[in-house]
Amino acid sequence: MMNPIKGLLIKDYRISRFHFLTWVVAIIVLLSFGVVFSAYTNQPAGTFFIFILVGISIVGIAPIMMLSLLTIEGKNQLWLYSPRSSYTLLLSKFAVILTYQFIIQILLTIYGAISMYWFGKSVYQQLSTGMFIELIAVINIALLLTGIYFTCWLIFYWSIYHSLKKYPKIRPFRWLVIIVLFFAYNLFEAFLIRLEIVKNFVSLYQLNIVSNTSLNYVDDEWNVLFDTATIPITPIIYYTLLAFLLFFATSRFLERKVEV
Amino acid sequence: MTTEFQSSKPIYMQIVDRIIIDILQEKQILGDKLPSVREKAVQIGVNPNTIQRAYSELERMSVVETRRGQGTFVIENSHLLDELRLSMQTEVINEYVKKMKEIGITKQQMISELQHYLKEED
Amino acid sequence: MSILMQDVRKKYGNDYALKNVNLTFQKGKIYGLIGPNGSGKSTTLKLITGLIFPDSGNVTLHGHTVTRKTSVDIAYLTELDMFYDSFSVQETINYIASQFSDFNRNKAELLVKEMKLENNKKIKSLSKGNRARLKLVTTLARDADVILLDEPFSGLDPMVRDQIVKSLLQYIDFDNQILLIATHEINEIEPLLDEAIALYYGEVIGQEKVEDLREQKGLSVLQWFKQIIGTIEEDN
Repeated sequence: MMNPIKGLLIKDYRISRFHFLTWVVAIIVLLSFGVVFSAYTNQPAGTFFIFILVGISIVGIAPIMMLSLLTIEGKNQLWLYSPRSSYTLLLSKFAVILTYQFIIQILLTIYGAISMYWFGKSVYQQLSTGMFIELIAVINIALLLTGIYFTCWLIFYWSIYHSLKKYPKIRPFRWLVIIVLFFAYNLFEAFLIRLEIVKNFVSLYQLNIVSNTSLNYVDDEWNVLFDTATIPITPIIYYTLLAFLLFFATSRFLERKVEV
Repeated sequence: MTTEFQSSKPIYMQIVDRIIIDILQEKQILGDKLPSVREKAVQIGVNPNTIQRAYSELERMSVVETRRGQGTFVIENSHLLDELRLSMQTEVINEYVKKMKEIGITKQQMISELQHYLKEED
Repeated sequence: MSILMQDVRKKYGNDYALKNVNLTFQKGKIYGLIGPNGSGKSTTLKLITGLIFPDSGNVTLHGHTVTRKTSVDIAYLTELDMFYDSFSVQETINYIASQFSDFNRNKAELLVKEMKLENNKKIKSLSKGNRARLKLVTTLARDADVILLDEPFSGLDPMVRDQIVKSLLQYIDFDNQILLIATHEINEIEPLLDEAIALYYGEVIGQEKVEDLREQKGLSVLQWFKQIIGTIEEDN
């Protein structure tokens, strides 16, 4: 007998694998285009532009995949007819989606390595293997964390949206509620950042990493340079806590408020 | 096939009637075992509690007996067939007379109509 | 071992889906929840399964308030499509078996054979009748304390309906299970029932033992139902 966690994982994989393959194909096409176009224009640094573009779009993969999974489940909400806790139901989806995202990140990493050490050797500032691994690790972790963070917001909004389904009067305005929530939080965050005390606190702890990159135009050729940069620790902790909070709130909503 | 039932009579009684007719037509042999409650329920598409009740009724009428751990059997009694036939007969005649009276047929007419009908049939 | 509903109310906006419902269900019996569409039958089943929650009142199974976790003990067949389109019959069964520990694989295999379902067929290519059959397979294969069927016959031709009735009778564990069937097809279901409960606009308007109705009042369930609705509408 298959255990329940494995059963859930297989289910979530089965209902999303086609969507995942679409992503993979799209990204491979985009990456190949980067190489072809850079070769055609004799500007090997063009691959760097594509690298950044794909890197940014990866942040959208997890939330979009989650939305597509939840849309399938939301048709009848019978995924909630389960002895598993809401945490487990959600975590299974996270596990599958983050695996997908990680696989796509591996593609991007390989692309980065090829660009730097082979295709774009002449224009990329050559980093030592150690530095390269550090850079790649930081980028991968940052992408995963950002993906998790946005996905937590997504499930939170989704669960509120569906909790409101049972109130026929609010039902037509559910989108509005979500939009108001979105702006309210972002205003709050903008306000928070402007506070002097928060500013000081944010710059209190910093971490040095190689993450600053730049394109330089020298002798008719674009070059890619790397520099060290600092990351403030406090916001990372804040966003991590916030993500946890959103996740637990969502689970509660699913268990108590979202009706089938 | 699940069976249709009339709406006015208890279902268990309709099942009792059917089993009796089966015995009279020798589809159900004297001394033989009736299907289990579950089998019979599945066969005719009826709640097992209703079948149980029909079997109890048959037992009360001394048509069947329940042997512990073996099931329900039709009693092996040669008079049984005659008795059942007689009681069914009475019931059918009752019904006939009642219906005929309802539509205003006299006793004389009933007999003559029946004789006429039977002649036609031959 | 019973299901208890005490003063249960459920509102959607200003509309009552259920109003002061008090019901008890005991094991070893088959109950029919009858009434027209929109009378609160589905709401009642969902409340018992813990898929929705009452605005006031209590729903308990074996003395414990029903929550989402109660699905451990309740096999629920929805009137909606309940499977993933991209799954095959076998994958669907495997998935449900993995989620519910009371899922009886032997029963499921027998049922699949009896219902003449093909294991490798995709859900999206199944006919309506076959989907209904599969729903029944996954529900009846569970050795759950409670089996709830929401409109198990709706839109099915009489052949499929007969087969479903037979499988139901064959695989239900009468001594240990509570079976509750919600339907508006009253005549079709009557021979299956011990008790009929009539719902009308969210209220229980009658509850009778089916054979008592016939024996004492000479009424079938449908006749009884029409009669009580008649008296209610006269009063209004």
